[in-house]
Amino acid sequence: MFRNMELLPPFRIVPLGDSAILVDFGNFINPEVNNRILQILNAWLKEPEYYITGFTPAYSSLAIHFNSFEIKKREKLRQDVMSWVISRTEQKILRVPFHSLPEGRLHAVPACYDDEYAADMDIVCRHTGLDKEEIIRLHTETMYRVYMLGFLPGFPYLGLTNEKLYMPRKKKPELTEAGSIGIAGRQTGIYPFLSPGGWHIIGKTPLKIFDDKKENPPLFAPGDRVQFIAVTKKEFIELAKHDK
Amino acid sequence: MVVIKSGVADTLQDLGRFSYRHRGVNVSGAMDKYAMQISNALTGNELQEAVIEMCYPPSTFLFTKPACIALAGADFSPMLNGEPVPLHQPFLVAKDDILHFEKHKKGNWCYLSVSGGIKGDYWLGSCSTHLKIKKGGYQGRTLRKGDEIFFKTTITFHTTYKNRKILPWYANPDGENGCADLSFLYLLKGCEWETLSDESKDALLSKPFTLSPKSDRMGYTLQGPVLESSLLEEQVSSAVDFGTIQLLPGGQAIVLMADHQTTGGFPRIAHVISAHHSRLAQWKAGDPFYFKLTDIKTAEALFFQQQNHLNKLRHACLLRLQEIYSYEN
Repeated sequence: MFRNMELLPPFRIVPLGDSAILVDFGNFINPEVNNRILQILNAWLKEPEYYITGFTPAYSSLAIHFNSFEIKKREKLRQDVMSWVISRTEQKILRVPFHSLPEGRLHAVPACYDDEYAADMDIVCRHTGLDKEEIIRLHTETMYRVYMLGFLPGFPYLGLTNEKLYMPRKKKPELTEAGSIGIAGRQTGIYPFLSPGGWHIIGKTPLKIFDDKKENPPLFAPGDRVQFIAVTKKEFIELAKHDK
Repeated sequence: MVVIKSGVADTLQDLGRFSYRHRGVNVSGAMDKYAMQISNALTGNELQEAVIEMCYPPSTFLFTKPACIALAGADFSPMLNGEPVPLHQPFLVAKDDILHFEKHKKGNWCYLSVSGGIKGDYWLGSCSTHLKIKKGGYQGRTLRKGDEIFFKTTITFHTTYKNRKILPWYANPDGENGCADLSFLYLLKGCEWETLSDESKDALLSKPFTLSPKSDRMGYTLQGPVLESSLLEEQVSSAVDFGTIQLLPGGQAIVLMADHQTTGGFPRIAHVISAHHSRLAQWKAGDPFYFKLTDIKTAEALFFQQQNHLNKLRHACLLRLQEIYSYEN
């Protein structure tokens, strides 16, 4: 949709408290905007700055967290540290090229939609007016993009789902098992851990979404692509044994 | 040292696991980072060294080796072998000494640092305890009876200080850092500040708020006037931080604390400035306080004042500690 610099929505850089800034493109779920976020993030990761303590990339925004005291000690500033970080970031972003990113990894994610693992399937059927088979077909036919990780360590925000699968969030969060596949708005996601959650659960994967024994624990990274593959309960149990 | 009676939720914490936010990993770390760093400064440690974070009722500890320790933050009436010991002043402990806490006097989080540091589990570059993933700190969990905490170093006292218990210097954390006990917190406007109705902006900046007893390491729930934002639909998820005030559906606000999620979709109406995070963390549930709007210049100046104080305190303590003992690794 947004093919080049002129067509991307304009971004603003605003303070996020006194030790972070937010590079914000607006309220979008759009692959080109998300790509731009990742281009900017990668440029910073390639050339780290001494004062940066971390990044929080999201759908259409990137927070850059910094240690203002380190900047204060090192730079002889007449202005406040925040203004210095904002103008430096602005200049740097304008120099980040628009060349394409390496294509994200493709994940085939086994998903079991058996009643035992799909606590909210009935509610989703009623709300969408679709039967279970149609919901499974629509959920598995789309190749999703991993837009961001957040909420829980390694939790992938995947989108966009078919508009027929649009679901509001639950009014009250409910305890949700690790591996559960949920839908909310036009997003789908997978719970890496047992946690209270507000998304409606339609299935479960046997894969480990966050493996704390690995050097890079999350299974997914922003920019990756995910396709769900429906499996039977028997296949699920068999796969679960191997992914221990 | 050994835990001989377990507290409710004591954990090992440092400044946090802040470089893995982009993978959705919570920062965690001490709730009151200023008090945590005061305890490290007093014992001559690096300011980011891991310490024991305690909330009431805390653990009781038996020392199995001599050490120099300091307590900072909340006052739980610390007692060594039944005798009161001070807060914000380092003291020496001998083998078989017992440290226990008598009474909840003030504050929520107390920090215990051991000169030379304690050995904890490091995960993704931090010793902070991640309770959900069960990693970091002490086996990724809260301390329990029977747990043995090892020190990184063994200290040898120089002879003149053989009988000294309480060391003759102290920190004055309420004085030097713009954090005197005043009942207000400074705010900076958040990204979604302008979506608040005029009445809500007024209420936020003029009416008293209290902290709900439901508050925990993830967030402190605010009790006060119901606030209204024109953003009814949840926004796409975006970054949040320690001190971010989010407005929940229903008009209740929550201030995010150490174990906060990395991202959220609720309006970020404001942020408590870094220099007031300590005051916020130690605030008593039910006690009223006010919010005042400030600017980035003031927020930075107060933060730098705290950091300068911590660095000066650490250097002064380090020099004096060298007269008293030496380390062996």
